[in-house]
Amino acid sequence: MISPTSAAPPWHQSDAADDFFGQSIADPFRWLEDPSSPDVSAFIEWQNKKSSAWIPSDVADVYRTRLSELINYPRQSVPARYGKFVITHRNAGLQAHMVVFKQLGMDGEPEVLIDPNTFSKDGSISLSLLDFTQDGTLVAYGKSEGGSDNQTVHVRDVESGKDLPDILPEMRFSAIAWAPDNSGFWYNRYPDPDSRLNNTLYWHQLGTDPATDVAIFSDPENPEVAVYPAVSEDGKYLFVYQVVGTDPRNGVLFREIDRDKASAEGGWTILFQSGIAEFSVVANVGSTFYVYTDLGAPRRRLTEVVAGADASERMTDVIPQSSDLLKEVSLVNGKLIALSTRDVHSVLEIRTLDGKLVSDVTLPTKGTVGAISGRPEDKDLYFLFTSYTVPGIIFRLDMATGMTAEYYRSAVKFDPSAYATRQIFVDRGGSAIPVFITARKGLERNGANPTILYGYGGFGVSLEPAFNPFLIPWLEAGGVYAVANVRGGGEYGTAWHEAARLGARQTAFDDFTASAEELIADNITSPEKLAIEGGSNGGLLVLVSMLQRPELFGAVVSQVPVTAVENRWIWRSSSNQRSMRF
Amino acid sequence: MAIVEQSEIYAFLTRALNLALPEATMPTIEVSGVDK
Repeated sequence: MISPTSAAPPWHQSDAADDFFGQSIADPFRWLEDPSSPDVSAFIEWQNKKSSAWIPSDVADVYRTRLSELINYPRQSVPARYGKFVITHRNAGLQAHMVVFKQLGMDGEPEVLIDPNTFSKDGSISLSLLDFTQDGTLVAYGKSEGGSDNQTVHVRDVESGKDLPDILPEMRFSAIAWAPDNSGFWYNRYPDPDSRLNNTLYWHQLGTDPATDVAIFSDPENPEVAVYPAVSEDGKYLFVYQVVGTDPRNGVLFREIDRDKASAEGGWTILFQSGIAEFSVVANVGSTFYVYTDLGAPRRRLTEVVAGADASERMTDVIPQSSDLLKEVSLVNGKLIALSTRDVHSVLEIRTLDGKLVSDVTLPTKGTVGAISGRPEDKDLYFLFTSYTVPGIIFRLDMATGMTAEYYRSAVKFDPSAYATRQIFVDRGGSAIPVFITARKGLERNGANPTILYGYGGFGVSLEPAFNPFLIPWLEAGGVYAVANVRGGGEYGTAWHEAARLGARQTAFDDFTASAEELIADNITSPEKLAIEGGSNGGLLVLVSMLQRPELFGAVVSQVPVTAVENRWIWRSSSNQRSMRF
Repeated sequence: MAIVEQSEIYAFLTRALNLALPEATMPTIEVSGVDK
């Protein structure tokens, strides 16, 4: 082993090779894949010493001090109403975990209901699942250790704050759906906790031993199918969503809920077959189901269909596909609230049950709406708005008037009025690539502004405008922060993703480097002052860009990149294989 | 941990892009109504 202080890196080549369709491809870096190897430790130590000596620690200290101030701000989630209780998640500033609070009505005094910071001394146990009964009297919550997929589910009485004796272990990737009468809940889990096969739906009757829970549904002919339960808001229907891995083309079964037959098998109607498209029943009025789908609509649409078999052939449009990407729809106070994105910023609309536009909800600026919280019987709803320099604002939306009122604003210790975000579009042979540019107002176009260009461009993931306190010191120091919504992402739906997959992968890299060229052509920055940054798939994006266009960039920050792709084209887990969908 | 990493990234960029020191450019912010 070479000492970490020696000048040359402790480096060697391994003679590993993989056979791909008869062609052998060498992988001299394979030895670096064993993090427990002393050679790898020595290599990392050498790298860390080298970089620590190069990075100016006095500058890092200035940033660290400022970042510590910035992340210390109180924040809370959108309030959710269950019967007489209002539930919020709050963080006083530096708490490792958000705390769940209950209060009586919107004006009640918040009281701690569940504090995950008390689950363990070192903060390693987190809250992984939280499902309230419709009337808010009971909550099922999961505890997960060390970020594990495994969790143990407990049940708490909301009024008294005391746990019931029901404890369900080994709930990997489980979902819970309460019975409307609170007598118990349906949930899915793997019968053999060490296997990812034969996911099964169970009924748990409160007060009984979970070991005696009754299996009511599984798909033995397709053992890789997971079966997630859901109950309609009116308590009339139990749904089962059938999902294979990350394939979005799910199936849906349903049956009417009969309180005497909660643990019965059978009685299912196949609403949607698996493998056709994405289907989600977002609301119902009696036996009319409102279904969100991408069937024949890569940017999504909302349909309605009467409960029954083979619904995919009977659906009619309520909100047809448009040029916007329809993200979610819910039913509140007899109207539909539809959230879409248009050129990567949110559009919120109130529509009638037959899809007619009632009003466009006014938003503060181009940004992102999330966490919409309202139920069919509510008169209003709450939602979160955020953008690059707008820390979370929670608005109350009156469904009758369409008017919003600010309910809560995060108080971050910086002056957002000094900054602005604008969006440009980079022409790439008929496709317009959106780029958000955030900087101090009145930015001088001197070709010398220090600029970070960030990108991802894979897996259909969208980079939507959101507040990130970690960006603020860079902006305060005079930096520009640009985000390129390159193809491979999901910003405009499935087609935007498909346009940079497989044989078209280069498109994502070209979109990114074209965005860099635009920032230079606009005289915002120059190659010497331009850094590119990305993580995971974005880490790959910036590394490829660096190799293909080294003259365009002054610095590259690649975090946990998915490199060595030829060796990673299949994820291997304990029991199944899934191809990666860049 | 995330703060340490992010601080080092900014320090790295400061040297790699030959930037002015952040102390010289960062404003001191006083936001009314916020406890410091």
